[in-house]
Amino acid sequence: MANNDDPSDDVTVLAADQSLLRKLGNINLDKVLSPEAIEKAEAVITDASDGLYVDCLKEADKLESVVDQFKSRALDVEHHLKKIISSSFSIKAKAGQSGYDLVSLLAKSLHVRCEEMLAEQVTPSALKIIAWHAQSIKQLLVLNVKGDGGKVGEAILAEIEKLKFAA
Amino acid sequence: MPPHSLHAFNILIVDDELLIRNLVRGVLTSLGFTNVTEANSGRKALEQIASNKFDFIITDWRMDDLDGIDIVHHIRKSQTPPLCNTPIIMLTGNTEASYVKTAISAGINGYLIKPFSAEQLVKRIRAVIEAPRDFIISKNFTGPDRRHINQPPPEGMDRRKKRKKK
Repeated sequence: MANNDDPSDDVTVLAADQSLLRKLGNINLDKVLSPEAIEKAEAVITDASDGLYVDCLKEADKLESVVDQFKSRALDVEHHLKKIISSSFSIKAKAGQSGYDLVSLLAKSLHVRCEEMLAEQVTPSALKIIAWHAQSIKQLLVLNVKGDGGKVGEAILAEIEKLKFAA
Repeated sequence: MPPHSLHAFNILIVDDELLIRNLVRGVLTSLGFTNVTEANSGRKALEQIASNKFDFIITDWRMDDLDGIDIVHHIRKSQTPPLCNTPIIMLTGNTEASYVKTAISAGINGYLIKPFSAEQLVKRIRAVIEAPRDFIISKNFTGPDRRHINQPPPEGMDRRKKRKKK
């Protein structure tokens, strides 16, 4: 982070802008944004989960398709990896938002590893690991496995721990 | 609609995912923040910002053209209020500490990780409205004062010099 102690650095400090507080006027946010109001807002998120789930399924199909292309034509590595990263990142957020925690975790594992692989060579075993992630994500969504997936989830998490990309 | 004036707050949501924009809008509307504008890309966001004054902005990070950090940089580098000190909340799936540091260094006001809860969003919004921070403009950093937690310096270090406030 920048060091504001550099004497040659000309620093201007603007006093905190109170305009939003003034806009609030007499509104008491403790009353307006009460626990009940927040609970209603949480229900909006819960109600949206079906739509997010359907979207995740579509994204998982896309992901599978990209991974298949990657396996058969692994020429444009960066292009395919970026598509996988984009897809898995999207699944991570939407799956997490709709209660598919294990799917979200898998998607995160996939995009993080693919990001690391942008700087490395993609080996056949690394490709298998990518495919395993994509297939697992799809299966869990198709089987509607919410939350941490119970025993299945434990087994998958153990598998993620064991997986190492070959150098 | 709830009987109060949160609709006076003009909010911009930026996310390339329609479902996420709908979700954030739905949560905001439920709370009473009904004056919400959407942008589905970084470029569209900058167009909106050029022609409208927003009270705060909630933006995604990863987008195809300009991303959330580009938006933050654009706003902060103007270095002229009221645009430059528009509060910005980053709503993102980037969870690693390095990303959080990058966003703070860019000059965000709040960081919220997806999946988010209404409670977490409310907390960030209330901080922006009720606890505004001094705003720093310098060669190396433009943004809300990152030293907003009132703690003494680590043992063995002196407190930094005070700067004149404008």
